[in-house]
Amino acid sequence: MTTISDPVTQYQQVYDQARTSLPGKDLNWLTKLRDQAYESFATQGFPHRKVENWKYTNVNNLGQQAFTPAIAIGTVNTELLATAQIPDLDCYQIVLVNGLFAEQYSQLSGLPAGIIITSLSNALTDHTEIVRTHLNKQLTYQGQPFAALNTMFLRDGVFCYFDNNSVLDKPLHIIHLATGDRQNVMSFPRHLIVAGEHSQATLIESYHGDKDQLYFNDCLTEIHLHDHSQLTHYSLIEASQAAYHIAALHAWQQQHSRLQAYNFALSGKLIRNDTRAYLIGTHTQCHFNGFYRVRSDQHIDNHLLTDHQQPHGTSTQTYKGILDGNGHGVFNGTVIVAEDAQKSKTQQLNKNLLLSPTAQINTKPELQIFADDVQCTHGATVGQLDDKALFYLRSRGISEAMARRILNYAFMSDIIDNVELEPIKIKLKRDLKGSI
Amino acid sequence: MSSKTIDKIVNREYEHGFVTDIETDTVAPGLSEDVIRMISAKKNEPEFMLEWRLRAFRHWLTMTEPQWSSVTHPPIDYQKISYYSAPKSDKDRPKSLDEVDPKLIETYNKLGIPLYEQQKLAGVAVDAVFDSVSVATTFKEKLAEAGVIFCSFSEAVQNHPELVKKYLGSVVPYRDNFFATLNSAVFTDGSFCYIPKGVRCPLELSTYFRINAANTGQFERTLIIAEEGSYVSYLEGCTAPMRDENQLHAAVVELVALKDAEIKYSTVQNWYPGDEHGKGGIYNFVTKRGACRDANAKISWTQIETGSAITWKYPSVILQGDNSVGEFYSVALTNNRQQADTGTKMIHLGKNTRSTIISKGISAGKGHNAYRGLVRVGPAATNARNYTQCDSLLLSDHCSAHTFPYIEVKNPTAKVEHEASTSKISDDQLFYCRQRGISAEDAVSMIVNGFCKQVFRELPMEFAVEAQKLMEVSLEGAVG
Repeated sequence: MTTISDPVTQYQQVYDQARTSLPGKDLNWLTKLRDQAYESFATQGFPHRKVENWKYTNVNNLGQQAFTPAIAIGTVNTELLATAQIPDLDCYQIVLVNGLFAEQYSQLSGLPAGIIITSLSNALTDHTEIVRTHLNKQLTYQGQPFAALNTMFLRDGVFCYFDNNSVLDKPLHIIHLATGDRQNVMSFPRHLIVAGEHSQATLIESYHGDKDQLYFNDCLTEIHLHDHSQLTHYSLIEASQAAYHIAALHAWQQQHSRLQAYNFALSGKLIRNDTRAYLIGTHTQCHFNGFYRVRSDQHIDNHLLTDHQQPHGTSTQTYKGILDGNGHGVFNGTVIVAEDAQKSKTQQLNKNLLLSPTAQINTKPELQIFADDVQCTHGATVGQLDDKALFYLRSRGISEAMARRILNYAFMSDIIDNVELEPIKIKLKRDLKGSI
Repeated sequence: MSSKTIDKIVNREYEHGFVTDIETDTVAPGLSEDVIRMISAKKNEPEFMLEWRLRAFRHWLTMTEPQWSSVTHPPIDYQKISYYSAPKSDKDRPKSLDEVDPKLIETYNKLGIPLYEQQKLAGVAVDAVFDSVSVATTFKEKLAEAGVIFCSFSEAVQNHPELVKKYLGSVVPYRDNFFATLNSAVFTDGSFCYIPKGVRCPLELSTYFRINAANTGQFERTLIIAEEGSYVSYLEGCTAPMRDENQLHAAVVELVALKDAEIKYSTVQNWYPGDEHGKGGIYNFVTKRGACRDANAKISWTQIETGSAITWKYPSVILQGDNSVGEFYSVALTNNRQQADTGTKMIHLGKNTRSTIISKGISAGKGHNAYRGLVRVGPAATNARNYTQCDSLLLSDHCSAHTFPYIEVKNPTAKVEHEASTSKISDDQLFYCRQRGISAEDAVSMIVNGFCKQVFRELPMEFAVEAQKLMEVSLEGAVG
């Protein structure tokens, strides 16, 4: 492992080498975006713990390692791909290997009319206008240096366009595989989802890596929901035990649109999710649900932001976590209700189960309310299994280990029961049963 | 509610706004080592105090003003503040109330806290801090009988230097934060209280702080030590005359509770909040912290914050001893352009430690109210328990209410709960009251009082009455 003194210079150097080979280099607007991102990343620097947004998540280790950006797919681990597929799920499939579109493994035939699903690099040439008007449109890099980094190195990802009134008949499963012959690969998948008026769709993003392969994912999903559109989004993170996974989901919601987002962080060395929704239209609905299972030396950090900018919005943030080993969990949920966003309703809940003496949790459910006619509640709990419940089960002849598993399972089940897609529910239950 | 009534009450002049014309001995504005040496010399302090002040000052020079809070204010010029102001008659201090400057007595009368009446009716010993030097201390003899030391800080430095030396800075070290460090360097006076082993303090101790001389920053320092098995209830209340220039108040309060001891610290703060445009008003940047040093100790903070242009403070408890208890009850009200960033820190270190946080924020006008709290459970704090509730009430569409609760848990046996809500007074509630012939104003006042009841209940009798009255005055008409 090479150690480096200044991560910012390191990334700048890598960028300077890579910039001529990046797609869309002839597009002036894209070059401009990259330059802005470059500038913002350079001014902000690599995050450290003095920055409020990164107070509990130390990325020094990440900054001290040298990664090289993936430029070719390389060999695909078909076994890994097989485990990544969700049994009994009838879906369209896109496979990205190290953030790059792998056409031969993707399955997109039979898409309904009015729906475009392709790789972002293709979209840059085939659908330039839609991409230009939506990509990075309202994204801010402030406090989001990794979003800036993603834009700098933007190479590929998925582009979805749902025309007005179109309905995606089957879910789209975007499988991300980190695989290759080399260690220390970094990838920057960038997804752009544009949902037209009254459109409906379900997307699943899942991330997988070889057992203890070291890599760095810096992912960014941009979602633009137009009037009355509906989107359900799942994120399943099953990264390798050595992987750094930093992901962001930013959604802009026009009036009457609905976003339902699920996040399941199950494995990875360091996981950071920035999930943000900007409710820029009236009568929007936005629901964030998440579950994190923190084990051994894992670090999982969930940062949420729901920004009510217009009246009559409804939002929830419901996140639960089970932590043991030396695991470290972070939850930071923010709800902002702007001055004119009257009649907003928000609920925020974070519950944590601490199972080992060395596990730790930092939680911060935050409200910033500038309007008066609102209903906002938030709650956070940290605790352990209820002795009485445990005793009740023991008294029925259930072993202690089993009783604990039953209670742990019950703790997380309401999040999982909420999942609308049955095959995902079954998969999660199966995977998590083993780990609790 | 009619906008007339709103205007009437919102535009009400600050009741306690008047300046008493007393000769004061004020040092020219500015801060340097010389000024600190002079303060120390004027107070005839022993060498260790001067050294401590200078260490703090030198450290302060290396610090920068913190920027993380949600409050905003124009930059403070620390060289424009006068760091010492004492009533003229320093040499012959009054021995009883008769000797007190009649104008001072008049001031207190205007405030509605006449010393005479308090002595007789409330049975409260009052250490009245008028600007920076204590001028009247009552019931000293009665307290002395019980062995309780209750005096001004300067007296304590003279008479009990060993206690001061042992405990000063032991809870809030001079390096703690920008304002605490500044205070350590320049504090002029404050209260000192020592409750010996096994003594239950016979009276409720009370200090009325009052800022008077123009341009004088108040740098109070309060130190309360409760020895093993003792109990004390301490009351602090403030009002200030109307003034145009912002005044900085950077006090430090340190509480030390030893084995089985209990300290109850109550504050009613009603300093001048500035006019409706946000002009003037006090900057209240205070560091308050208590340490439950030993087993079964208990520290309880209760605060009613209705005044000041900016309130920025976090009364905290360090729960070191096993089974120790920390409590924080707070009502913070912001009206017009007032800003409050307040909350608490509960640091659980010992086993079976418990803490309760009840915070009620009320925002009206263009007020800005933030709860910022930390609950930290250390790895050794087995069976630690915390319950936090912070509710906000919004009374206008231009005010804001924020909550920033930090929860850090490193022990699996800990139970930490946090809940909060933000809402306005519901129309149903108002309608219910109106329907029964209660005027809108009374109804709002009633509902707000109900909202705060959990906290008011914790106040000593005298304060509970004052607090309710304060809420009525500061709020009623601000509701629309």
